[in-house]
Amino acid sequence: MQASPEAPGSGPEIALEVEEISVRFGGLQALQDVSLEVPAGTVCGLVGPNGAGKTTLFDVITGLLEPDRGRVRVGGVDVTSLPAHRRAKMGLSRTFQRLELFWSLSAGDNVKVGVEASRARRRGGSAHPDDAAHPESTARMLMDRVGLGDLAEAAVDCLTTGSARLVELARALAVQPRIILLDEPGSGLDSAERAVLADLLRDLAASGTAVLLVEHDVDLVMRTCEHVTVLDFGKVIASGTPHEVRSSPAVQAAYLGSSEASR
Amino acid sequence: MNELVALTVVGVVYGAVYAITASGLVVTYATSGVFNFAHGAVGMVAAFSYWELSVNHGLPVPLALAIVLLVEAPALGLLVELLFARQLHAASTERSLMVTLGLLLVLVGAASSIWSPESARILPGFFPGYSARVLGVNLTGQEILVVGVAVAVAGALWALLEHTRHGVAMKAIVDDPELLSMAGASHARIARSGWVLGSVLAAIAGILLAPLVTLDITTLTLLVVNGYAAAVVGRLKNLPLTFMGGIALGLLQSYAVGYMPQSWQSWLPGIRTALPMLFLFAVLLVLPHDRIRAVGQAVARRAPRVAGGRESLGWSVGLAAVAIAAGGLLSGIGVVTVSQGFAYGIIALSMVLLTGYAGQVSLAQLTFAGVGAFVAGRLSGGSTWLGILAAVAIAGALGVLVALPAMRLKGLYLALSTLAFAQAATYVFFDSSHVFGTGGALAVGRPGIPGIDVSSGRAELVVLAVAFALCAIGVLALRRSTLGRRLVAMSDSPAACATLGLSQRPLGIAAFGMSAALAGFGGALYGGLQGQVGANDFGLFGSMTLLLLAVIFGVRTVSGALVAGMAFAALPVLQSHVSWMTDLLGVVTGAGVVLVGRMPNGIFGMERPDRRAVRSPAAAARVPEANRHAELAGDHASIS
Repeated sequence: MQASPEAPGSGPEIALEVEEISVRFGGLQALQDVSLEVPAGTVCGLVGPNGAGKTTLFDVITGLLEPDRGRVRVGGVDVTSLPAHRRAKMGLSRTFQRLELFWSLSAGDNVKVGVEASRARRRGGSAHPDDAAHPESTARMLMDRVGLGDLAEAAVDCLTTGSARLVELARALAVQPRIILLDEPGSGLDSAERAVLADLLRDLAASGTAVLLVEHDVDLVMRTCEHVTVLDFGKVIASGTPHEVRSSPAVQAAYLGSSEASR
Repeated sequence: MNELVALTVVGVVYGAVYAITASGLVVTYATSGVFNFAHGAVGMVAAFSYWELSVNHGLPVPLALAIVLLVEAPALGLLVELLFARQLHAASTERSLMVTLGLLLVLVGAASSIWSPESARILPGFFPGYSARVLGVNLTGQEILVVGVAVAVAGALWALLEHTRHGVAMKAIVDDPELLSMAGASHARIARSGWVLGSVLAAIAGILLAPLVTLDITTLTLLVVNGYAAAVVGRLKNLPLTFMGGIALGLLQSYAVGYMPQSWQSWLPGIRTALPMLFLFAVLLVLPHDRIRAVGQAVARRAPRVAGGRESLGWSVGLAAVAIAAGGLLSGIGVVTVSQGFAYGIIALSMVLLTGYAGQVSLAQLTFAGVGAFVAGRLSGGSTWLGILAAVAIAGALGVLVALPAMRLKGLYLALSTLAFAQAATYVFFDSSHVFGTGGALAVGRPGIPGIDVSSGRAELVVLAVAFALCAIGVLALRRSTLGRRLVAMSDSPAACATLGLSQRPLGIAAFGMSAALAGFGGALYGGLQGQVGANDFGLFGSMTLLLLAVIFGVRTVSGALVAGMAFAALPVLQSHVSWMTDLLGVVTGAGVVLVGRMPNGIFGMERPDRRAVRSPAAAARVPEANRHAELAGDHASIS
């Protein structure tokens, strides 16, 4: 695994770069020439109506789906041909819109799998026996960080969708990512939990992490994102600051009649 | 030259039958998403029913055919679909595999009860006495018919799938199920016709094949492996490729009969019989692998609680005490049966590791056990611990070797490759006189333990109980370790694991190797207990039955493994008391699995008061909302 070439000094490093990605499912053009950049230390939004191709783009970026065309670069390194687990080792992490929890494990153990995965990586692939005590406390700390400190022992199928999403978030953070992709982390969360999430996103950005956020909650997007890309029918229809995007006629047309825009 | 033509013609005839049976498998799989392991058994039952009607009861051939093909086979397909296949559509590969394996055992058991395997039956071919010269080769009426039927089946499937409305919908499901469900076609109706059509095709193949080979339950049931191979050539959805695969396999077998050097066959007498398995294995190796996909929360299954270290130690001491007491109370045969139960229990523990934790299905666990027994027996007669160690090491290494190429294939394809491996190992290796000796009886001794006279049955019982307990402690400790958590995580969500940087291959290979090693250990102990072992101790049906028992009693728990082992040992004993049912084992196991399809964790993994459940009041307050949120999430999921 090669280290990424750090751009010395000049402006914020582009952590994630998506270049002209196209994906076709049979007769459906799911993504067409989609490009975007996420600089280190910023939260970028990816919004659009349901079916616009947001989750498909996440699958392409993380390596779960092969694009028909286009490149994905992580820290300047072309990862388009790498399998998902290799990309993860380069510091790419994500959550899923349709939950992908480890249903047989407790909430805390879900996070622990992530902690242990990143420890093994740092030790060059070999797990060390005296690591055993530490992952436990790291996992608990992460559960606290997403506001679920009291639920470490809970079976994940007992959790609300909102809490389950937070478990996924804690697990995704456990691998100490440089880039994190969050697929509707706010859905199912109450307003207090959303506030915790917004703080967390800002903290992540402040610590240098690049965040790409798919979210329907316009308020959360406006509060946290520096830059927003809008997808509709697989194409980028607008891109800019949240305010620019909000006033774009193309975006208003795409959202016309959709309750999400007016919230 | 003439020989080549003759072999080609014969190869095409056999290949045609494989093509028919494989097309049935493909039709069912593609429309319902269930790979029917019982496909061959359906053909077998049809062939026997046809024999019963036309030969035994003297019904005219057309009438007998009509009853079997137009009434029995569709009814069987419909029954399967109604009974349980429909619930399987959304279920995991692992569960649908178990249920069709159960169906296979039910059909084999029922057939053995009705048509005793003791007496030989002959099913005459169609058009007896008729023969024609084709390309200078004499062909019987039966052989010409087979090719004709294959062509007709191919034509009929083509016409159905390309030119009828219903057929086009079936084909659409093959290509893109999600697209079709969006278009609003009824999935259930299409799956039902897929099961009926598949069942009829299995019946046609069974009736055509029986006169060419032999009217035998096991032979006909397992000949479907040839169909599996052909179907896999078509990646389980492409019918033209499937037909080509069938013909290719037929030709390969035929040329092997003609051209394989004699020296090969004197070394490996079973090589010819094993060809279809080797073919299947080879095809699986060149299949492009599927990418890991995020599937969302399809099956939320909660695992049974995992016992802690102290708790498992306590149970183990109890188990040893019970074994000591049982040794005093039981009769001679009872002691042997319970001892066998512990040995089988260890093999079942290997299934807990692989299937229960890692979520992979292997149909070759008794094969690994056989390798263990063989190695232990060959090395100083099994009476040293070195022999046992070697058994564990070699079985484990073999497991890794089998898993290495197969690991990139998951679920169904992996199960198929273990099936091919198990059958090939039986034909080429176990049946060879070099392995278990002439007559198939290799002596295996028991390693000594200072201070204990292991030649006594009662002492051996305690030794095996302790061995089981140690293995169970080990398996549970593994489950609580980092590796154990990873295996479970990989089974629950390969996509999430990949995005955490965990690669599937090394984990799967590790699970497979450890599981094979454990099975090898169980096999070596079983050999020592029996004194001598042969190929029959380690057959494919045995592996299937033990696996199904483990699933029934709970393949995610060690107690489930123990009871499965005991049941596997006890069933033959029980059976000797109920002579009216010649295959109690198959029927009980199969019926159990069909029921257990609704209970994914098995009897010992059922919900109990859960200690991990939510504790704090704050946490409890969040729970009641769960259902509402789940619905909301579901809405999102189905649209984007």
